[in-house]
Amino acid sequence: MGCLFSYFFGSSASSDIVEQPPARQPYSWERADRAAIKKEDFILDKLKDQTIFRLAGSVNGQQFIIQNCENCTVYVFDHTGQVQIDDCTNCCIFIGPVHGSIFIRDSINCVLATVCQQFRTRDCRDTHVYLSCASQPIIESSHNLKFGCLTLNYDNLAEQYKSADISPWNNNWSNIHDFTSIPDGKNYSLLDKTESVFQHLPVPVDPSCSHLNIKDDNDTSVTPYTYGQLYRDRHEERCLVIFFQDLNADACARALIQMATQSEVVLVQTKSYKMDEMSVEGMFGTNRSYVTLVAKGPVIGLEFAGNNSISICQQNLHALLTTKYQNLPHFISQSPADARTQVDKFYNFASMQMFA
Amino acid sequence: MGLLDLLRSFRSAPQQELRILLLGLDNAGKTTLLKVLASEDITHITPTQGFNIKSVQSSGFKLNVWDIGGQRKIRPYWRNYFENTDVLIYVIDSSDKKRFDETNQELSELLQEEKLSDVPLLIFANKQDLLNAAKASEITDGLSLHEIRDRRWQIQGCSAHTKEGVKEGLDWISKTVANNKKK
Repeated sequence: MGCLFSYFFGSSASSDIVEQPPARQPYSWERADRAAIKKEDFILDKLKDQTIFRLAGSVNGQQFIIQNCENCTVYVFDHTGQVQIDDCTNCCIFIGPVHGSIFIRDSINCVLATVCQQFRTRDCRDTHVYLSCASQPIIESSHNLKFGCLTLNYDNLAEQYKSADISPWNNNWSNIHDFTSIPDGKNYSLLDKTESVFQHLPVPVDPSCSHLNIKDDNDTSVTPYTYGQLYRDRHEERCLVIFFQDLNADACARALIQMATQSEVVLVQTKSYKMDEMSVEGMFGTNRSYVTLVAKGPVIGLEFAGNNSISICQQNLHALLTTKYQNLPHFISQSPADARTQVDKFYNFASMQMFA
Repeated sequence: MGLLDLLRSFRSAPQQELRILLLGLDNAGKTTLLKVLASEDITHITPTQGFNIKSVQSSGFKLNVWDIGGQRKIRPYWRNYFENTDVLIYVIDSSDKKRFDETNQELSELLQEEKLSDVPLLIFANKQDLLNAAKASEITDGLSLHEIRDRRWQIQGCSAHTKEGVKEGLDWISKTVANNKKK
């Protein structure tokens, strides 16, 4: 009745929010099974000098909050929902794949490693951040942040990426946007490849984690190491390799990366997205066979760089395609001049499609 | 209900172009909401650096929805988008309790803006699907919404991720805009 009253006599404008049409199904957050989950189990508040573990299945996609903690080490070896980290000092935190954003605020002298769809900071300083981040990380009013590429694996991590809807092939760890950039200098720097995550995050030694096979080496990492902005402005020859949707595409891509990077070739960036017809025409011209290939699903694109990277990658790829990965649909740059253009187009089409 | 359905429901509206402004703190879920309204994929959403806009047209009527970045540093630019706004949608992350005072402050300032006077206000209490979310009724009290006297308003709990509650908010907008004609 309150609703009708306000429609006829508009200006008093109070809205009856309690009244609902009787036929409405309960929202998912109103159901009994949701009420049974205690939010306190997912909040770490006012802890000091403690080490906390959460193993697979213990968070299971729920929101996770860490606040007002000091000198703590937290490992969440599970996928989570949105994460907030507030007012923490001297903390070392690992959060497994985050569905949504991870937002760290008002925190000092921390180490944070995570896999996420979005990464945000505000009012933080003196903090190391290791990322596999699906979109452009943003910082605001923060200083002396150091960003590195997260290379990590543990049992079930790959499945947790899927639960959080995150692709290991989309990592923007080094492409930071600063909302409060300063005229001389930068509020952040990029860590060298040699400074991997366990140089700053303690290696977990608790018996509860020993079965997890936790490793930070590049060969077994779910997210491959990419140089990103560390290499962006260098002029060495580029090579673009694209694997079209296939059961073996992921494995072949990883095998190629391992082979190619044993030489002087580096992996600059990777990107996975579903190319549309316009992008296909832009990339490959009017060859219709590519249209069929992209329709099957997202492609995996690899940008290699280094002297003779094209011939090195071609040789390595040929070896893989004639042995273990026969008939795998793919594309590889043929000449240095074309490669640069192909790389640019590949990323431009990705931006237009993914973030339109 | 998407933008096109909403637009069609405006046939009885007096004007032919409607402008909806989406504001709220950073990380509230504005862009996700915009993509949901446009029936688009929400797996690749990036923090908004400037703004996003979606426009739909149908039978001579046009609907524009503006989603403006909400970082503290860029809120001063919100005022560039106030002119000719027909509906203000204010989005709140219901699970970010630490920033309730901050969002309260921003909303209060918006409601005092001359260029937004009389503009109907829909508050989406978003992220109701998250464990730490405060209910819409708690947020209503916290924001003192019942003290609003100068415009029509509604609060709607929703989850842009699951799409629940969004249609109900749009239904209110549709009714409110239709009522404008009757005045």
